Amino acid sequence: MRTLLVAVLFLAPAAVFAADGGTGGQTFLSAMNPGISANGLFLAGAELDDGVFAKPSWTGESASMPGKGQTFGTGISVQEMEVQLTAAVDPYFKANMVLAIPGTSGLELEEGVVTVTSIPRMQVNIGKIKEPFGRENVTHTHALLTIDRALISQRVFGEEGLNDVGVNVQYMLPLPWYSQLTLGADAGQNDRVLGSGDPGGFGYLAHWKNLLDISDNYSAEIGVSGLTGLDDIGGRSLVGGIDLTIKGHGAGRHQWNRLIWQNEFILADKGGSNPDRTTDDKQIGGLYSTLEYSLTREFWLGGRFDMVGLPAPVDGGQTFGGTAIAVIAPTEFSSFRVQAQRQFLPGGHTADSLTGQLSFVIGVHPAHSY
Amino acid sequence: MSFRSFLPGVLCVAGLLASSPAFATVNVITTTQDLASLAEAVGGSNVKVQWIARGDLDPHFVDAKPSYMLKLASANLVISVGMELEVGWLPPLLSGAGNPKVQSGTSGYLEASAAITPIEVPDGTIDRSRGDLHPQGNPHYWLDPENGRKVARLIEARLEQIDSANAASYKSNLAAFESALTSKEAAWTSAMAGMKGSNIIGYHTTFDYLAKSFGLNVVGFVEPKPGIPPTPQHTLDLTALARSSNVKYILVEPFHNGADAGPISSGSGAKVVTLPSSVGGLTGADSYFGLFDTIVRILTTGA
Repeated sequence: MRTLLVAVLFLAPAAVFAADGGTGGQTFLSAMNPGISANGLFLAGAELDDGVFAKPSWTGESASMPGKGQTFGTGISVQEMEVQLTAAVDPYFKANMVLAIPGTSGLELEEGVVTVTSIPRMQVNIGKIKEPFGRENVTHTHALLTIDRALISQRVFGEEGLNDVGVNVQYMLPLPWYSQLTLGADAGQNDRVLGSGDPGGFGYLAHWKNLLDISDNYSAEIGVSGLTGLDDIGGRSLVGGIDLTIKGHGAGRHQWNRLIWQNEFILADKGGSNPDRTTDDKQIGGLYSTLEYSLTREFWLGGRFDMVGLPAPVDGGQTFGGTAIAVIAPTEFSSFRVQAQRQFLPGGHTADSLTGQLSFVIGVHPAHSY
Repeated sequence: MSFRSFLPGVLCVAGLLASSPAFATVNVITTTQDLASLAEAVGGSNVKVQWIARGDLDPHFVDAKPSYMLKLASANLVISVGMELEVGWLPPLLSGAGNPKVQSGTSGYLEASAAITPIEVPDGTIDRSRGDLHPQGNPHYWLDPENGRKVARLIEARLEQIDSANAASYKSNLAAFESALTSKEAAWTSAMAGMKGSNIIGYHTTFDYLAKSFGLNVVGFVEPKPGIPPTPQHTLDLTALARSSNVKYILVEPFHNGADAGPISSGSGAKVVTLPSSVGGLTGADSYFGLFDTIVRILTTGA
């Protein structure tokens, strides 16, 4: 049934287009179709845990080393396939739906959002949402600089990030610079920091985003995020974060010399004063810093520094990570990445990986995220 | 006092608000500097015009900066090039701006391409194996001065619609612009007479409307397909073509790397020249007329 659904989603626009004679003119039916795009991510890599080849993580047999983040293991894999549908519902609403197949089986709703667009300076989003906690959480996997998410994001929110059913209101504050305040409530189902199972156990989120133009070509984004809700044992979790991003590019043909420096610090305190909470996972804090520089339109280099266990040790110590990445993107619709990563784990353990990723997008032109 | 007694008053106020409003100044946001120049010429002192994409940057690739949303949030009229030139960045900006008055389909949103007849509308199967095609045709139409005239007329009509109190002023400004454009076109055509029939190569399809307007023959492109970087084999083939066709110029936009055209130039004798593809693209191209003055000067002098 799932296979059939995906096939129908892909074939529907093709059928309409064929009926149109393929001339590029739009029939009423095709004009009313949502914008449909799909992207795929393929992985190949090798991973060493303490110098020994790790088993492929997608078999479910991956070594569960403390402090370790998302692993790819050794072998070839489909990281993710996504189908996205976007359309205006009517003059008052627009809708966006992202269906994801993580790996080669299983279809899940990654996002399904209806947005109210008819209120001045305000957007109301209702549905399953990648929630605006910091910068990385709202970024889809294929749009990340690195192949994996930052270690602190994975430890606090899990591999899927903070992505829950809820509602949020985003308001552009009447200030001289771009300043957006988001207030939201979700179902409190993130099983890392929330997940009380109580129907009334909502999670509450606030995010304040500010963007300042440093010059014609450079801008800075500063954000503050907060989340609270009940965790799985009834204690109150508090998660806070700050983020800073500097983005820019040169002028003229140096437009392609782009620089992005993105940083986030996240601190999660789970369960408040609940005595059942063990010390090790009560408080998790850490940061990451990514730097990306495009040498040309088609080739860029980058790196990421990770630290988990700040200010207090986690799993008996601190975890550090260093990631280097090279990206070749022949067009904006395809790219190939090679990533080398080393993690220094508590107890003197190490985890090394070398991973390649092929990414492609088909369908409607993707919006350039900022 | 009952709600019913309030109702007529509420409806009157709503009706007044919904009718054509009189603006102290119409806040116009254009996607490009070219459209900004045309809007300024037609709108005169009744409009305040700001633009998003700087003329020295590739309009296909613009950062959807939230600060642009701030501009769009207070706009009365948004003018875009259309034909999917801004497809990667304008929709998220409009969506994030939270300004219902300038969303697609409203009188506050104008796609200037509605005024022109496009060239190079692709036929047959359209997919990305043919490069980054624009299904509705080549979107760089502002580089034909006659299309500038048509777009100016379209902008004037829309300004009249949303700010009818200043209609006479817009009509007068348009007439002055058209008169000046006619004179300028005569001068440009005269200056370019010696270039007519010359073979040229473009980096992208940017200058195809310009070539059509001034009688230049575009025999090839540095890009093997729209938006696709040059390959060694294509460069070799193009060099041979440039040599056999006696190509005079290889035209490169300020945001493309002229070095890509270097081997073609050295192998054929064709000269690489950087031309402004938009207002603001190079020094001197500071208005719509200045854009063509600069282009004509570079093409007629080679520098």
